[in-house]
Amino acid sequence: MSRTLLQVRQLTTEFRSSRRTLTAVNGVSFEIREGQTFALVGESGSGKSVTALSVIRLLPEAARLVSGSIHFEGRDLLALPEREMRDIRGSGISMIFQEPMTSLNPVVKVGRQITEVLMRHQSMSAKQARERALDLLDAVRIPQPSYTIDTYAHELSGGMKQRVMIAIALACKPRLLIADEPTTALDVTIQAQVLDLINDLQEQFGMAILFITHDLAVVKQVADHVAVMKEGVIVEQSSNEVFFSAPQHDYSWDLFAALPAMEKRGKPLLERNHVSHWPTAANATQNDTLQVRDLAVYFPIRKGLFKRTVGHVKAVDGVSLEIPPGKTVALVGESGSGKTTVGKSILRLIQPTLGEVTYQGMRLHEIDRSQLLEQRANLQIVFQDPYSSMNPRMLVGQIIEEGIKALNVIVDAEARRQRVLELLEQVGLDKDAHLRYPHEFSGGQRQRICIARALAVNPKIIICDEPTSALDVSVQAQILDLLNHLQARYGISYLFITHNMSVVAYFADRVAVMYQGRIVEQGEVEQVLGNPQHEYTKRLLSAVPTLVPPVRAA
Amino acid sequence: MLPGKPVFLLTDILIFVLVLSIVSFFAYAMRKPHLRQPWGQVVRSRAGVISMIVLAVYVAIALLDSLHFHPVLENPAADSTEVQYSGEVISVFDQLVSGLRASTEKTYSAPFSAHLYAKETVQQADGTRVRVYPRLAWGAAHLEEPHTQKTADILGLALTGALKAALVWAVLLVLWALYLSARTARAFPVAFRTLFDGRSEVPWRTVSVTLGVVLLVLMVGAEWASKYHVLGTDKVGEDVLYQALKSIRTGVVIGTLTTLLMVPFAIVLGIMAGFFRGWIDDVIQYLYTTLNSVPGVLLIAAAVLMLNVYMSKHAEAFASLTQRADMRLLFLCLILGLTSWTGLCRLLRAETLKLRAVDFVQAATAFGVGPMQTIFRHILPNVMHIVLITLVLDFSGLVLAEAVLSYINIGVDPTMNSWGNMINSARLEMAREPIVWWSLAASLFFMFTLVLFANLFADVVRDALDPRVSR
Repeated sequence: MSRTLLQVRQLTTEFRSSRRTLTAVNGVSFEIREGQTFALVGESGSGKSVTALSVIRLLPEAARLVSGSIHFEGRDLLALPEREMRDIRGSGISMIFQEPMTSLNPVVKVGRQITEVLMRHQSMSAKQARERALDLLDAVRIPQPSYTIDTYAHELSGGMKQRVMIAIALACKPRLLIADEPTTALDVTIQAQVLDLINDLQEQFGMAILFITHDLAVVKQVADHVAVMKEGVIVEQSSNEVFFSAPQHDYSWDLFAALPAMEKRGKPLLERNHVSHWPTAANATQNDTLQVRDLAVYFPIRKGLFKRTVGHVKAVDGVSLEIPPGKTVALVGESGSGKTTVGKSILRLIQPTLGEVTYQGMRLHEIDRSQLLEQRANLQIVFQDPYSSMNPRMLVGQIIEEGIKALNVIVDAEARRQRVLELLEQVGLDKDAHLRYPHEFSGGQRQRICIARALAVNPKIIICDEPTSALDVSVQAQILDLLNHLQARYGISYLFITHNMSVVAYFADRVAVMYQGRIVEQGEVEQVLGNPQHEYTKRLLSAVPTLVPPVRAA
Repeated sequence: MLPGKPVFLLTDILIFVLVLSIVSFFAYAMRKPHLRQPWGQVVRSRAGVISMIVLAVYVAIALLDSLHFHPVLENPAADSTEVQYSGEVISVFDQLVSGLRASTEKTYSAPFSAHLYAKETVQQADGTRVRVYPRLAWGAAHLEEPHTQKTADILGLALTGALKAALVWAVLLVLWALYLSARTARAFPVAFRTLFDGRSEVPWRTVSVTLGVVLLVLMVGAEWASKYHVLGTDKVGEDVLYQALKSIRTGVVIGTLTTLLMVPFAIVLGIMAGFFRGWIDDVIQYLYTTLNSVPGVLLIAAAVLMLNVYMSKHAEAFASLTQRADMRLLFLCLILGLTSWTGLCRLLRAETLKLRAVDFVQAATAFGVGPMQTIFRHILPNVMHIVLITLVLDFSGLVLAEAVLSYINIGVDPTMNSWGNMINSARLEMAREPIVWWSLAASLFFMFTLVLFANLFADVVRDALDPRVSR
């Protein structure tokens, strides 16, 4: 068996503010062996990133390492002076972060950022460093290293930036690489490439990896050893095989249970929900099908003194789809494929350039203001980011009420208040929530408020723009259950915009796959996911890390 | 009640409107937790409470100096039975420091001096003439032998002042502790101790100490000023301390009214440009870019000179010299405001552009909420922190701008007391031999204190309100 590289014992880290002390990491112990990939899994706020930052002693100012020991190759990291610690960072342990967009300095050429590290840690000359940087860029499979080395960060795509970050992290051949959610901000196809790359480089360089993520499927793919963190404590540690066949801790089971999957269709994700299966939706006529035909949205590119239009960005280019009543249509695609633009232009939040949207015999883009107001009540939207979708200066009650007031659904103030309370109950929130401000709620609760706001005007169709992508899996499960429940009860249709294939498999009836502004394939979920026809769909599906949740013995 | 017939100058009215709106804003903000929270942070910071106390003293003086009236004539014409009013306009503050106002000398005298600063030929009782430094009419007039008695007298007065300050301080602290103990339902000694133990959330110890120091300075200063010219006298023998104190109002008016006048422009135009985009945005952008490319000083000079011409042609339109000077002050505020709204406008436009694309504004659009409602409900409340930060940050800059403009003679009316005018006249005094330094020193000291604490306050406010500053 290989030697122990990093040994963490009883690590406790606290955040102190003037009011209270928050223990982010509470007595965590683990070991990483040479060449091993150690995955730290947990939901947001579980303390996994703080653990990593404690290891390389880069904690934010408010945090304090209270107790415990960290040994790296036998040296006590906590006893080292900052000067020696700097040598360890980079050449001994290096780190890559979640957000490749902000981790690179935008005003320094990419190559310079790599050579800087080399010249600092390995005392190379400028020329040697450049040679080595080219090798590294080649190693992280950047197509034209000699061109890329002289570019700036903004000229590269997200995946490329993350590759450059990895190249910088690898520059000094570290023995331990800490990867903090390295693929979370990337599209699945890019994620697959980056994970592949990390895997290959690990063999090539023979380093150990501390891999931090919330995504169990990714863990399954990369990790040798898994540790599950919850509220600052490691609740379970075991090898990959053991963990994914027979997890020990209840919390691990909860995590698996919350994962949406094709097999769980028609059943609620969380057992807490009492409804065992969803009742079928009420019947509706063909007239209530929303039809989108040849929708196109072009953004003009303007140049010069008089802002002449010199060309167009075709964000959406001829999209046709149907949303039948009481059904869920998923719109799948990677970032930049135009799926959000489709959603917003259906609602006329963005004016489409061409095409038409018909609902209840009306062409939504040609009707006048009063007719549009009527239709606004039928079509609603739930946004991706639960933090920016509510005005922080308004009470929750006022937020939910806004639509009812604007569309004159209920004129009487007292009746309106009753309706708000009823809505809060429907989405599973306390009644007194209406007198509180959005910032007092967690992400999942906020998303519930947003759903209540959309429901307030009795819509027939809700456009859900990645409503769960900013949430943890357990919260995602709650929201999906809620949406399912509401659909069963009120026969609402959803246009569910997402990039998460397992959510699609669990949740949607039909799916449309978008690629570069066009729909390349659409059909029933089973058919498209089970037997994809288009090249892109195949590529997308093969890139998604798959995970068959273990089954708990009764 | 005012001891005379009240006069409402335009700037008086505006400054009280401003005070009223600030008070009502805070009354409103106290009821909203998200608005109260950042101000709670201001009150909890040491620099915040210190600067608030010092600024409160300045503002109090400025407000007292903004209640103007015609005083009752003390020797009315014999043939009238009615109360007669003097044509002169004075303020409540003038009345309070009437000692200082009336105690004029012949010409320059140094701080705490008993003699004039220049030798004069004096005819003695025996008919001979000598050139001596004559005694002052008022300063140190109570002393027989200034040379021997002065130091002891000054110290004695300081002691009296310190005792008075200690007394007032103690009374205030006891009252405050009583209030605290009543509000928090704690025993009086416990409440009293929280004022000094430095462990409370609001830094009461800092408040108590600052209050003590401020009281000490005020009381000792008052004692001295009752017998001496603490900061000397100027060329025409006016007390420099009085001038410096009177200048406070000018500074505060310029600092606050200017922003008050510019803020509506900036808000309306900035939000319109950012929200409606298109040709409206273009017009507004061209407007402020054009305005920004004209040198501000040039614009101000042109406007003030035009006003001068207008005033000399329409002299009959102004009831008194004070009113005329006041008009000029207001006009200066206006023109300063006109040249300085562009910065805030640009900030607000950018912020509105950002907010417009934020999900909650989109959600409102999806509900069919009209543009005006969207602006008032979603945009305006979310840009107000920028307005507030700009208001406090601009204040000190404007006080300094007044000094600079008055120095080059395009500032406030020469008859109006202002630090700028004091510095302007100090130009000649500095060239004199022996040098007359106290006018300059006094104006710089008063201005420096105001600007320093205004800046400290602005920093604290910005830290509390700016969402980009992490907490």
